[in-house]
Parts: sequence; structure tokens; C-alpha cells
Amino acid sequence: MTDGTSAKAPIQWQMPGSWLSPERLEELRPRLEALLADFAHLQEIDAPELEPIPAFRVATAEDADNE
Amino acid sequence: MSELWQLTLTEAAEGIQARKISPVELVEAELARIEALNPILNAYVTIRSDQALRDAQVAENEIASGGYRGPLHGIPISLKDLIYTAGIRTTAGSVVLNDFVPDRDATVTRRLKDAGSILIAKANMLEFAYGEVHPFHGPAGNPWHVEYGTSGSSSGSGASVAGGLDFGSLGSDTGGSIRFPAAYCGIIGLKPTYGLVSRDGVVPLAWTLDHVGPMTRTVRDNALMLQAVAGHDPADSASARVEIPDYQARIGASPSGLTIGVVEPAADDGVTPEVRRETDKAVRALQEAGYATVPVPLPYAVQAGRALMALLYAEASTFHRPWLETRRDEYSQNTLHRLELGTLLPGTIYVQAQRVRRVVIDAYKELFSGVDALASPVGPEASYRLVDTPAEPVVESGDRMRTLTRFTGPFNLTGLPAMTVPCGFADDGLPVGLQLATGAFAEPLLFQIGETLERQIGQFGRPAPD
Repeated sequence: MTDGTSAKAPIQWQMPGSWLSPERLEELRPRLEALLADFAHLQEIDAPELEPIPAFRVATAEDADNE
Repeated sequence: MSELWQLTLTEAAEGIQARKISPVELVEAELARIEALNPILNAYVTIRSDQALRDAQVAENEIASGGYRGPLHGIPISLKDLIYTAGIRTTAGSVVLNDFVPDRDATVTRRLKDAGSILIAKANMLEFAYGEVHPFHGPAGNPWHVEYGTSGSSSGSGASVAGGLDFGSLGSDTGGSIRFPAAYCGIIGLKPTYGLVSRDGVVPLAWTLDHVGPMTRTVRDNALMLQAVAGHDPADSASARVEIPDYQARIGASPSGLTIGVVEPAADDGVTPEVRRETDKAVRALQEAGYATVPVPLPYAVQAGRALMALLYAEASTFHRPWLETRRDEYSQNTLHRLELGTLLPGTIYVQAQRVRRVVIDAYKELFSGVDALASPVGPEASYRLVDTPAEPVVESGDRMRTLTRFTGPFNLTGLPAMTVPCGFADDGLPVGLQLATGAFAEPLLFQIGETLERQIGQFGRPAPD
């Protein structure tokens, strides 16, 4: 093992939350609903031409070549 | 100054270069300090006593034979325990990685070794840098008052530097994890520009928000550590190709013509009167030193906080997702809660957060076209009593987390550099910090202003009194 963080089993994509027990999903529900309601406000900033910033070009986009 | 552990890194380096101080004596002094204080502070999870002494002997021999490498040669330092160290366990403050021993160094570990520094210990931290103490490792105590906390997530690094257990430490910062413990512990903590310091071999929390940076007792010490670790690294996909300047070059330069934007208080920012009092005092000190100041608003403060949280939840849960089914019992309750929640958020939220991020970045570019730097509190409060931390903590609401990271988070979102400089004391005697920020790759300016403030305040730079 060269990297402890890569020593993980592969996962299969499933319906969101289907890997959690119904009881656990119920525990998470209030906080999840609150988070979704809060994140909904992100849509208040919008414009048709607004594209997401590429993930690894943050502060450096105009200041350096960080390819 | 009678004890070696009380020196600044710069003073120790000058002593070593002049061969008035021996690296072996320096390590011995720190090991004695560690033996006395680490059981109280819980700053370190792994201590390299014998190995550090051997490394110090090697450094001493090299220096004696004319092989002096530079200001970090022979200096005892620590690393936050999510930075890979070949042959030395790297727990990330977790149980999941409690037995993980990397077979390679992180790029920053290698660069510090190449500079001749002596790794004396791996520093305690919050579990996977995600806001919670894992009970297995326990909290770090604040050297200014051991019944108080250090914040986090670079909690052990804050405690060790402020306690005089080492001369500097590397931490990591995804929403304020260098700057908060620096503020709570009365030391300097720099979150450099995104891409300036390699993240290779650093256990991630959130790839696009993570930064690695130095924590030290003085601004000059911080510049010395940054000098050793900054620079392009092909192993880090976000690494910037920029010329690395002399980070001490502007220290002592004239403030003439420089304007600092001072963040205007907002009704909902939650800043306590004592933090406001001390940070206002710090701004006055900068004015007296010759800096012009203008009030500025924090651009998109609430939306920046939301975007940060959306990215953090999604990225952290992506990294941890495979372990959440197989090792969930090894996580602390709150970390598990946050990670599971992150798996349930739709991808459209992440993309919208990246759109908002572009708007926030543009707003900060506009802001820094009108001012040279920004000053604000680090967080709304100073340190807290550890006994007030609930044994079974409840998951904080998004609002609470957003309030906490209101001033620090935007610089993770935008990648712009920001630094904590201690500036005063709260009513209970615990330190308060001022955050200074600048445009991309303008760290030399940050060091210039930070050193001015350090000089004007004049109460920090040494370990906390025993």
C-alpha cells in the first residue's frame, strides 16, 4: 500500500441514500432539508452567461499558469 | 532570553549560522519542553525524540563542515498530522487512518527536509480537518490557558508553536483552519494563495478549497517557512507556475501610498464587543504607522459562505464515500453526520456553487483594484472553555458555521492569501487576531503589513507565558 487514502473499496452508484438505513435517513432528514433550503438561495445569483469556474483555476486564473 | 525554546525561528537560525547555537542543543531543549508540556497541551500525536536527535546531529555535522543550507537548517518543526511523512504514521486526526504509515513524503515534507529542518513531531488536529475533535485523539489545549481551546483544525500546530514546543509548524486551511488556531493561540498563521504551496501528499478535505501554510511565532519566521515550501510542483494539479520572490523583501518598507480596506461591521456578523474592540485597536495601530484605511463591505458575504459550504460538503463526502459504508463506526458522530449529508446533496448544487464562486472571485478582484489589502476580524469570538464543548456535540447549523467562517471562508473560495496576526487580548486574557488579506500572490505585502502590526502591538512573538 503506497497511499492509505486510496485503500478503499470501489463503490457502485446507487439511488441517493439507498445505502443508508431508513432509520438513519430519517435522522438526517431535518438537517438535509435545512441545508437544501439554505443552498436554494445560491440560485439568487444567476445570469444566463454565468458559467461555473473550473475547479482548479481559482485565484490563479489571470495571475499565473497553473495548468 | 535565557531559554533556547523561547527564541524565534529567525533568532535560532541566526544562532545556528553563527555557530553559537547547536541544533542538538536546540532539539534537546524542545524535547524537554515537549516532555513537560505535551501531556498537558496534547499538541502532538507522534513525537520523534530519538530520530530528531539523530537528524540534529547530522545537521550539526553538515554545518560544522561548511554545508550550511539556510535558515531552516537545524530548526525543529512539526507538521499537521495529515501531511505525509515517509515511515511515520499520518493519522489525519482520525481512527480510520490511525495506523496509516506513508511510504513517501509529501512534497512540503521533502522541501522542509531539503532545507535542513528537523521534524520533531506530528501535530494533533481535528478529525480529517472537518471541524470535530475525535475523542480518540482528544482536543489540544491552549498554551495561554490550558482550560481553553485552540480552535482548529490545525489545533496541535497552534498549541505547539504558541507553547514553544517547536519553532514552526505547517497546517492546512479549508475554511480557516490555519487562521483560527493562530488567532486563538496568539501566533502568525498564513493561508497562502491557492496553488502557491503544494497539496501533494496531504490528506484532502476539499480539493478546491484546501491550502497548506506556515504557523509561526513571528511574521519573519513565517516568511522563512513559506520560502522553503512555496513553488511549482508537478505532482499537484493546482500548482501555480509563478516566480517565487524573496518573502522578506518588503518587511520594513514604507507604508506610503498603501491603502487597507477595513471590513465594515454588519448587523449579523456576530462579532463580540471584545473582538471588535481589539481589532479596531489594531486598525488604529496600522493607521498610526502610516497606512491609509477606507471602510469596505465584505463582498457577497452570505452567498460566499453558502458556496463554500456547498463545495465543502460535496468534495469531502466524495473523498470519504467509500469508507462511509465500510468504516463508519470509526468516525466521530458529527463528522459522520456531515459526510453522510454530503452524499445526499444533488450535483446541481455543486455546479451552482461554482457559478457563484466565479461571481465572488470577480467581486474580490474588483475590491483589490481599489485597495491594497483588507483587514477584518478572524472570527466573531476569541477562544472558548473546553468544558463548554459538549461531550456529545450536536451538528452545527449551516448558519452557525457560516457565521464562524464569515471572514475566513471567502479566501478559501477565492484562493486569495490571508494571514492572522495577533493584535490583543479578550477580557479573559486569551489572544485575539486580525486577519489581513491581499490579492493573488501578494504574500510579500501581507508580510510587510503584518510585521508592521506585530511591531506596533509588541505583545506577541514569544511562547505564551507558563
